[in-house]
Amino acid sequence: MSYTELCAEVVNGNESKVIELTKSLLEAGYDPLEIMNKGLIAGMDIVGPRFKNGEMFVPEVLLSARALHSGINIVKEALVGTDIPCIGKIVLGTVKSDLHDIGKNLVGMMMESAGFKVIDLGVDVPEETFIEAVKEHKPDILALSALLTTTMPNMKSVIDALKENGLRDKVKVIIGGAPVSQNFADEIGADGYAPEAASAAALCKQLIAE
Amino acid sequence: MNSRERVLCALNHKEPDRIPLDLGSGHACKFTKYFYLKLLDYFGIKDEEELEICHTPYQLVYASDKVLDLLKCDVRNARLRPLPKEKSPYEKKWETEDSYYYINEWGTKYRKPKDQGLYFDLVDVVLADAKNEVDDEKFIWPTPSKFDPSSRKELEDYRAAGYATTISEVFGNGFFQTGPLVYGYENWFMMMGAEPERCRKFMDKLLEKKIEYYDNLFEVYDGLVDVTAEADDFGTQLGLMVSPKMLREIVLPYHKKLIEHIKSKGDIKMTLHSCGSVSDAIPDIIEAGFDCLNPVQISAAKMSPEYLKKNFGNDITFWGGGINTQETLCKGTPQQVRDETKRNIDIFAPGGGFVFSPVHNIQEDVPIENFIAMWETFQDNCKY
Repeated sequence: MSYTELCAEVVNGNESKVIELTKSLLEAGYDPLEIMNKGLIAGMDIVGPRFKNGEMFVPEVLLSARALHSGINIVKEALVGTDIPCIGKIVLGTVKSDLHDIGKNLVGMMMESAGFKVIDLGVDVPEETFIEAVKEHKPDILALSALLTTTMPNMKSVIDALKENGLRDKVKVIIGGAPVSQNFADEIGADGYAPEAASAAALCKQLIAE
Repeated sequence: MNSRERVLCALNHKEPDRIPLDLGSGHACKFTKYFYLKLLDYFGIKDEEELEICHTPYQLVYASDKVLDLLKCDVRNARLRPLPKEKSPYEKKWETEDSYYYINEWGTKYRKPKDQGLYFDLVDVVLADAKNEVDDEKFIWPTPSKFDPSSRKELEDYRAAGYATTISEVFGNGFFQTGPLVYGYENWFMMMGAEPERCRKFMDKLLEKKIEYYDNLFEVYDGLVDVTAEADDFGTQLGLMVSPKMLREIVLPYHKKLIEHIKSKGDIKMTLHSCGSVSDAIPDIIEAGFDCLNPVQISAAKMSPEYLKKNFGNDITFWGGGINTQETLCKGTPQQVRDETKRNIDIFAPGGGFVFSPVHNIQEDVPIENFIAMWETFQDNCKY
């Protein structure tokens, strides 16, 4: 029983084993935050790059993420009353008229696994809802997703709405989705673009460090 | 050479008199109704046609013979006429203030936003909470339709007129992507990773149903179908969604069995519809018995026309890939469209094994000038 073992089971996506090991470590008196960081999140730190490099694929990543969340939920019970540290806050959503979310959900999982608090607004999110969420949650980053060439222009509409509401300087905007590119990000004045979920989480870390 | 001879020649990896052209018929070669209206307007025949939707989620239409003739297309898609059957308990259709909804015979719920919505997309499934095989049993499988025998005449007429024929409607999706219609994408993916036996059980049943579907089709169209398709998106913009090993061991054996059955019915070429970057799986796709790939998503990673033609050009037909529909066709200038169309033809055409079509269905945001620039460039460069 060790952090290394827990970490390995997160990588394996073995949910029942992660639950068992997390509980055992807590019972043995290990520090909950250390279990979370050195065992659980450390596992996802391995999964992210492997996914990016094509050594792991969507099913394996989803299984790892599910195992991680089950582990984290147990740790959270042990931490009731304590503030769980987060490295930043992200509001995430698929833009108006676009109902696709497989990619967005993967991005959200990677962000959470990297230690961010993620507020996921779902799909088909109108500009006003993004604006309200930025006002309410004051995120460090606003992450916009689109799968369709026909809805990509709505990413620009969100950026325009941020400007109109005097919020553009308050939040970094990143974009992603199959037809989206760095060129398009530059064109609409986004602060960043990532081609897949693991890079998106890395990009967020980089942006909050700036 | 008539259209059918041209297409079959290309599919047999020989050079016909000119490159065959498919706009409006093949699996992802169709027009969305929004673009089709622009095209009718361009030809000045907007008032002459009633639109007939052939694919509700993407709002694709059956293109008319008049339009296909004006565009000099070589392929014709059968307009399937399913006979009435007992309604599935899942089926339903309604609307709310902001959206249109329906649930199909797979129990998959789709939504299209009223404001700016162009497509119906999956929003819910029946087995979202299924945990085990007992839950899986609760699924009520749809019954494959039987078809109106009188619709045979349509393909007989196409055959007599010398066109290549295709059936591009699929029962559900392919073996990889029907599960998500019932379990949801994320659940299905995790099942593939952790409980492949549950997936196999589902795909065993799906294979039975698909065989019944094709048998029903061939009951009407026996001997008249040149090409058909199965739809399974394996790729993302960057690579495969699942490992080549998982495709090889879990998914493609089912395709292989189905293809063997279909090919036992005649000399029928099989197309795999898969979006995204699939080059890492093309050898396995060929091994499963597929003859053609459509779409050919040249905008994805490891899918450049040069790479595909060089590595797989002798063994699979690229049905599409004529122009990038994520960038150039919808956002480029007509000159950029001309340049890219010419370049892709130069790479894909030699030796046959190429049917010209854009990467995917033509969407609402494609300017008519770009479409015409692509078509004219094709006409100027299609002769061998």
